[in-house]
Amino acid sequence: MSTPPDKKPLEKPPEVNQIGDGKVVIAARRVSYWYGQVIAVNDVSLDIGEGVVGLLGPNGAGKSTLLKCITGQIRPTTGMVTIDGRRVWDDPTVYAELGFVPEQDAFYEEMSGRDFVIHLTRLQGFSTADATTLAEEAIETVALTEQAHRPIREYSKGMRQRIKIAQALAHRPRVIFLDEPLSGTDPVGRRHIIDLIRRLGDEGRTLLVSSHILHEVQAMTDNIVLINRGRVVADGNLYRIREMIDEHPHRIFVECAEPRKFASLMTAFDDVLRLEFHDRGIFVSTNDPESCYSRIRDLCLDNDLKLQAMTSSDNNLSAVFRYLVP
Amino acid sequence: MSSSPTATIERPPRTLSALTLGARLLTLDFKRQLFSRKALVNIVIQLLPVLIGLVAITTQGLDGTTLFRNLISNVYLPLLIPLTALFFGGPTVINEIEGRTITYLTLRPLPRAILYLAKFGASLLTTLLITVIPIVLLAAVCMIGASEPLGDLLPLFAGGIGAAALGAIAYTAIFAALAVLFYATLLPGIVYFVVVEMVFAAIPILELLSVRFHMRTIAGLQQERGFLAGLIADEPLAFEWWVGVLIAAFFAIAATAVATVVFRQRQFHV
Repeated sequence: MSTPPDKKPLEKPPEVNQIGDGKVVIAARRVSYWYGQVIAVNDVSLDIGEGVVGLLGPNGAGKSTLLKCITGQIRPTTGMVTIDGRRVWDDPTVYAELGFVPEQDAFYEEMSGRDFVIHLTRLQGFSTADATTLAEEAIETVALTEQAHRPIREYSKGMRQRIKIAQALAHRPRVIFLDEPLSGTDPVGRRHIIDLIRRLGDEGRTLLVSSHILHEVQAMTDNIVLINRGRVVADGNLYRIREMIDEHPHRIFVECAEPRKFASLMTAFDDVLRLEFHDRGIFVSTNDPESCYSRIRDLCLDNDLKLQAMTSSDNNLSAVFRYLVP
Repeated sequence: MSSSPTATIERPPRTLSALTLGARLLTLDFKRQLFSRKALVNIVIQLLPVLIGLVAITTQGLDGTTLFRNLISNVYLPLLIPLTALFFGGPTVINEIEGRTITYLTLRPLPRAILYLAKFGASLLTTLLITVIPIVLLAAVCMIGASEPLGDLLPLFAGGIGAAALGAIAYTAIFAALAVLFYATLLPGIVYFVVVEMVFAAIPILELLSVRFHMRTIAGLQQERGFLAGLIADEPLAFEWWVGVLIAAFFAIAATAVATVVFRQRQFHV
């Protein structure tokens, strides 16, 4: 899709980093969105290039509202969004190159999966024959061919998720938005979708994937935008953000047979900053989590301390945001 | 930053003309509506007076002309046509919003105004088909039991069918517009029907605001006055049939224009 001569990409202010490769495909400038007195998206500026970009944030962070602003479903209260240099709001021609997997579980329930995808692909301007071919290819891509004739109301959550992805891919868009695409999928389906997203990104398409689960996004891409309370709190390469996270102490909860003995062994290491006893175990704060994890396992093994559990709440996004947002 | 290849995507040729896509949406939606359970229920309801008429004419020997006039005046125009229009006009786009499927449609290369008009067109065609065909059948049934020659009956039948068609168009447009304005499928339509089509329609002068009045004008049934109208005025308001056509058409066009403008600016938080 080339930029029309009368439409130019938005000026790039120096403080906006590009996330993703190649040229800028999606540009948002000072986008805010208010629901009455509540701000859902707060002054967001982004440049997103090709490949897969993760939009990460806890529930209620404003991810879906930002996606709706970017895809032109709602008009930002202030600011503007362009895709390939075209303003999104009120320009339906943009949608010829755009696919969207909504978060909501909404379908024409009486239709078969196949008819659903054909119906929506026809509305992308294809003839019945071409729409059928494209729909069948997309359904095959999401591994749903055998169930495609069944009414959607009979589909499991995972199948419904996959048919939503099929409708977004069938017209072969260059820009694809996926809002929580792995929600409700089983491990096999999840793996399949992750591989598909990676493959589409490798083909040079732009995919913006929203999720509140860090490891899901990590499996798809290294390029992420972290959003909380409507604001972008960090963006760029995941390793850069990891480094920011690693500057802060990392808490590991250990449940073992003799917590006091375990604590005394742990005090000998410089990276251990703090030890807190709890009813069922002990919290270890460390600034070198990678070494600490393996050391805990080794110490327990060598000293015959039965290790019952080792977990870290710091792996979830809420912990990441606790680090990044004061 | 590494650079990946810009996607070169091959796909079959396609037509992105707004009118073509609009016509396609209209056709697809019309098929969906026509084969829905709601359509079946409405067809049965609309055919009931036809069956009753058939039984009355064949077993009781009732006069076909009187029967047609009575059924049109007391059953179809005031009740059955608005009923079907309410069931198909009200949900025109609100069902998509409430069912949260509107996202799929607003993210197609289709201007929102065309999207609304296509959805409305599908609802309108369905309402017309479901309401007008039974009245044509009723006319055929009543013809069997009519004492007058066919030539004398034709204006009555044509007026009845025309009034039903114009009424169906105006009601569908009004109910669809009210649903878009108030973001609800049936309630605004029911309130409108009670206030305008029942109360206003029974009061002289105010009755001009109701679709029912103009349907009666088209059908040549102006003498059928409501109880209140009889108390307030000596003579009923009477217009030529084409005035009724023009006003009913104006109602339909105005309601559709307002709804299109509102829908175009609507933001969908689904």
